[in-house]
Amino acid sequence: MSLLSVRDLQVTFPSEAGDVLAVRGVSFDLERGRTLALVGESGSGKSVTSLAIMGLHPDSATVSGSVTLDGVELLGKSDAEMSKIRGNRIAMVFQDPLSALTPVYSVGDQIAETILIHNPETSKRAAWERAVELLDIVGIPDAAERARAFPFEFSGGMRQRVVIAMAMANHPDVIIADEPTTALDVTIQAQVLEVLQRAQAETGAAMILITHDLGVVAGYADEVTVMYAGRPVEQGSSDDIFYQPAMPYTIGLLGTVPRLDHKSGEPLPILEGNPPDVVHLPPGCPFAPRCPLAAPECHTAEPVLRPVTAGHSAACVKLAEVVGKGHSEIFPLPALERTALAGVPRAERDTVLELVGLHKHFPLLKGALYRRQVGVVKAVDGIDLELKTGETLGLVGESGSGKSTTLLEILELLAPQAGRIVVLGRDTATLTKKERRAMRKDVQVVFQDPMAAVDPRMTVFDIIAEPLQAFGWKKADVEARVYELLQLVGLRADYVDRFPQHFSGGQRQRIGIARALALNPSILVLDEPVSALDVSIQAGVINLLEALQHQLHLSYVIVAHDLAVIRHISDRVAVMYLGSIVEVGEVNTVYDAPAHPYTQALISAIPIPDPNVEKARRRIVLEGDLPSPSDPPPGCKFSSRCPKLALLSESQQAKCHATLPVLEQIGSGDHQAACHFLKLP
Amino acid sequence: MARYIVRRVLNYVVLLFIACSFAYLLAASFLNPYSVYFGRQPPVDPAVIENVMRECNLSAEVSVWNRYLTWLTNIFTHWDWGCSPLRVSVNSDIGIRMWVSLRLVLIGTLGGIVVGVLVGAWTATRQYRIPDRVYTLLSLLVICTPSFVLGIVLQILATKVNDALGTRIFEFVGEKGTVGDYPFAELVDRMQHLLLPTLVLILLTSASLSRIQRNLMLDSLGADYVRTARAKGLPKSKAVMKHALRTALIPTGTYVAFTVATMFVGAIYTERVFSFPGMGQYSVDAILAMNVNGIAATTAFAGVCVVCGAILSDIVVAILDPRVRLGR
Repeated sequence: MSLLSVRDLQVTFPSEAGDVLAVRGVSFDLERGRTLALVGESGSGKSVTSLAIMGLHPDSATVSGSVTLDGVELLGKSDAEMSKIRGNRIAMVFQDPLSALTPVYSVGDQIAETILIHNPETSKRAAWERAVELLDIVGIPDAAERARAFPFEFSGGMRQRVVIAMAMANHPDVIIADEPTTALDVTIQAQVLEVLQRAQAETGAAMILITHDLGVVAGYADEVTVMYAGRPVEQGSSDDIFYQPAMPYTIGLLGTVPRLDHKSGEPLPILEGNPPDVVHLPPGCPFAPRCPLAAPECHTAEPVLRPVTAGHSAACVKLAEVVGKGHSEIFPLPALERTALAGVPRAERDTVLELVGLHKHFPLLKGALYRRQVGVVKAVDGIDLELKTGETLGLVGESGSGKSTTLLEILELLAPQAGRIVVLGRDTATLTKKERRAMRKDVQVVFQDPMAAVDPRMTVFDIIAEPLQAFGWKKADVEARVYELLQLVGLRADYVDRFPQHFSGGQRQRIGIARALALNPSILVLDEPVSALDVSIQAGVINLLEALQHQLHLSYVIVAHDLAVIRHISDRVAVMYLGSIVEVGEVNTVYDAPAHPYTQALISAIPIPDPNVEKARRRIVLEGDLPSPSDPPPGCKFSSRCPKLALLSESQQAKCHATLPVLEQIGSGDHQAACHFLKLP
Repeated sequence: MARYIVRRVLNYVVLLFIACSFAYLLAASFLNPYSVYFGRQPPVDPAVIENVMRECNLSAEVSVWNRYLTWLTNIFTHWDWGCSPLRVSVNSDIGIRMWVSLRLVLIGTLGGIVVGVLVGAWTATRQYRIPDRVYTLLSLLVICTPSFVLGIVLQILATKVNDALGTRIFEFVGEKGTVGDYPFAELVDRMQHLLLPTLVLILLTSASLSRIQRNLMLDSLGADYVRTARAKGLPKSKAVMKHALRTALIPTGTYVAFTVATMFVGAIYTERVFSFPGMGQYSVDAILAMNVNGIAATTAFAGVCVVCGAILSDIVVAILDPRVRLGR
């Protein structure tokens, strides 16, 4: 008998549009100590499945099927009965650690509460001591002291550790982790995943890992269930799914993920279309509208899971045809037109943007009536960058490293506090007000969250026409231009009078891109342009950005936390740490032979969607969080977390703590890194 | 914590001083206390009027600045807030009315806060079900009824109840009436008189506060940490009481302080309808009677109320919210 057994789980929500069939028949078995990954895009029903197992679904939902834990049926239990199981036998780790803890209680109290609920005979003191012990296990330094601290005194990664400590408090049989690292930086993600593994090892629990990150799946899952439109479409061992995918959707999903470990130079393989609306599902396979292999029989009845090999099953009518095929054999590869610029060496191209010694310091103020300065946040602390025509420069680093501030400084087009910003050969400090306004046409921006970046009360036409109208275009010209732009970004012309709410995330991001392109800019600043999108949608937007670059000779400055995306799209990459650039160079050089220990750690922290590679690889896990930019360590800013430091002699270490290293040339290209001991392995 | 409170109090004292000074200067510059004596039959000798004005520090022949300084000196040296143009001491006037108001408004608003928070929090957990709909309708009804209408409607109902029962349970004229002859008769009498006006204030305060509390509670009910609390094994009701309500109370703490403060002035209609000689009535009368000192003193009183409310809310918020307590 399996530890946790789910049979034909169905979850339906009422909505104004009709019943939302969020989960439509999920079945799986889970054994002690094993990890099952639930994979799928947003809306595929992964989280709803886990909430239904916990009995935490909204009251309005109807749940049917069966969930048994050690043979005991959980569905239909009352809240009081489920409360005895939740946190005791099944524990959960949620996605957003910033909001998962109650802000008004100390973390120690919150962990102790978990223990006391299920062990009322335990004394408060014993529960507190156990809480401290748990905090220590999950790697909170000074646990006894920090247990008294409140959630707001912890960083996101630290809070997630607290949540994990809470989950393992009562030695649960099952731990459900719902996107446990999505909201975290890659370096912190690596730490948290390690803690989760430790928690699993410590408690011997089975784990359900819900994630959209195939790299995480490859590294941690024993079994995988791929979900699409509320149904499992493929189930099997991790190796089955990654090496012998049998469902076109799985193949498509695996193919569209940009890989950190190689650069193709080709456009990303794509998966056309959007996931279906689970309110009005058409008959037949829900994936059929996006599937190049779809035949008439795919549209008549929904396929059921059929065995491919032992323990591996997939829901596809044309199973025999699909098995063994690669992505390129099923999905058409998009073509990319290269521009004449592609052959021009970098040195011969025009410089469109130059940053020289750029500084941006924020004063740290305190006091209510009389505000006085108590410190300085050195958000950007003297950086040099150069961007050539038709080139893409990627900026990477953890949150708080100064990437976004750099973008904002460029967009302001003002004289910086110190240093220079030169746009298209003009120093922004010398611009008159009128010239600065004219220059705004040349520098445009695309934002991270497509839901928030467009005004929900304006039609697509108004959104795209706004910059044109602001610069006094004639009405007839505006109209023609808007249609031209829609075509350019791959949106249909009849979308013009619709409102943003009618579009998916990917389509909204295209609207945002069309707006940015309206005035024919030469530089596009992209702040996490695809991080809010699902993998299959992300590939389309990345390809669009690449195509536009070639077509319009655009230059991009792009910030993204996904290093694989940066590798795919960028020509050059600059790694930032606490307001300084620690390494910069041609993207393949930096990724293949990272010189700075921070770059090495960053790249090593990214999970690769390939179980053999991922499970065999040793990763460098950085200790702790990014130090506060108002109080960086003396000398080399990275010295407080540097894994290399321990390998150095005392006199060498003294140098790291005393002087700030500057960028040094490595090899013959333009690869530079700032470390005193680059030569050491 | 103590330092935090002391710092806030010092800030408030400065603000209070500035507010009172402005009120005095404004009233002294624009009101004409002499007009109180105009058109008297027989006419009053201007010299006599001038004498009275000098005595009361209201004379137009003295510069506003000098009057202001005298006013300040009197307050700080003798705690003398001056007198009206008719030579009635402001101290004695306010001394009586202040307690009338405090009794009425304090009980009324505190009761309203408790009822409002409870109703709001409870209806939030019953969102869109019948109790929620009923309370929403009732509170909207109260919110859009002017307070004097509400007062009169309650008086009519009270009369009906009194008639039906044959005894006078509800009393609603003035602050006290004929006192019977039994133990604690005076207390009972006062309570009877307080009952209806307090009820009006409770209804008014709780109606709007329950709407605010309901929304705050809905926000925090949907919060991730409530889900975490349930995932830990707390039954829904406990998770709501311990994790949702506590955080949802923080913004209420701030709001409530200023409700209390405005109620001292906002209770004017209630005081009028029930003939309660409180501060609200006095403040309106002071303006009509060109009572410069009375206006300044009323402002100061209202200011002190605001400050007390604000300090109270600071303390409440600091207790509820560790982020404030730990100074961030």
